[in-house]
Amino acid sequence: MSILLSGNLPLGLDGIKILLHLLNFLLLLGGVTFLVYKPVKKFIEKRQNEIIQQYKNNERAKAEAEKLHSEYLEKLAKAESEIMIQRSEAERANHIIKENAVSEASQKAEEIISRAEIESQEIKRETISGIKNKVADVAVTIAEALLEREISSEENEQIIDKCINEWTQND
Amino acid sequence: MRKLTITTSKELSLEKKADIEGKLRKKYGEILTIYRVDEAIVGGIIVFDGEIAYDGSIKTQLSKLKEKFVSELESQ
Repeated sequence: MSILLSGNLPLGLDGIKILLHLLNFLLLLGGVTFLVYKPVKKFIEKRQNEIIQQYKNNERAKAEAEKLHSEYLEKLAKAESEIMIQRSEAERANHIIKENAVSEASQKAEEIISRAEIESQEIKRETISGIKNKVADVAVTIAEALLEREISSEENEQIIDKCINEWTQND
Repeated sequence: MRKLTITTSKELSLEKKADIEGKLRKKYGEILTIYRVDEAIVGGIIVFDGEIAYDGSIKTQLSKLKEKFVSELESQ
């Protein structure tokens, strides 16, 4: 140490200057450490913590978003399933309505045909009966006309006698 | 006395009327006859005694014939 302080070092080095420089360096180091390093470190740490917190928040938000997405997909699948079920039921109901309508129409058509057949038979029967009555009427009319013209007074009187005899003899 | 309405298609002679009335008296006793002419009955006689009509007209016979004719046609 005394060698350093005397100032006579080999190579012409000055011990005091070296110490002063060393002291200067130490002072600078201390100053820098106190004024720069610690605040910067503190700032960096703070920033690091912020980043970590931000990262955690992001992770949390991401987890929540994934959860919501998953729920959304589940609801979507459920809704699609319900739509499929309702569509299927609607198609089934539509099919039943169609079948019933066809069946009803077919039944009505059969009823109409049956009724028409019955009416047709009735008309035919009435027509034939009408014709028969007409024929009978014509025959009777002809017979009346013939008898009116052809029956003589004697024949008429014979008929009268026959009737009177029958009525008076039956008592 | 019984009132009888006698309907024929032509006017009867007096002899015929007397003959008819004689036969009717056997059935009814004393009678009062009213004669009517109706060409529509064609021929024969109808006697109405106030309760019963004895119908021997050709018109009625033809009607019965017509009914029988129609009935037989229906059954075919």
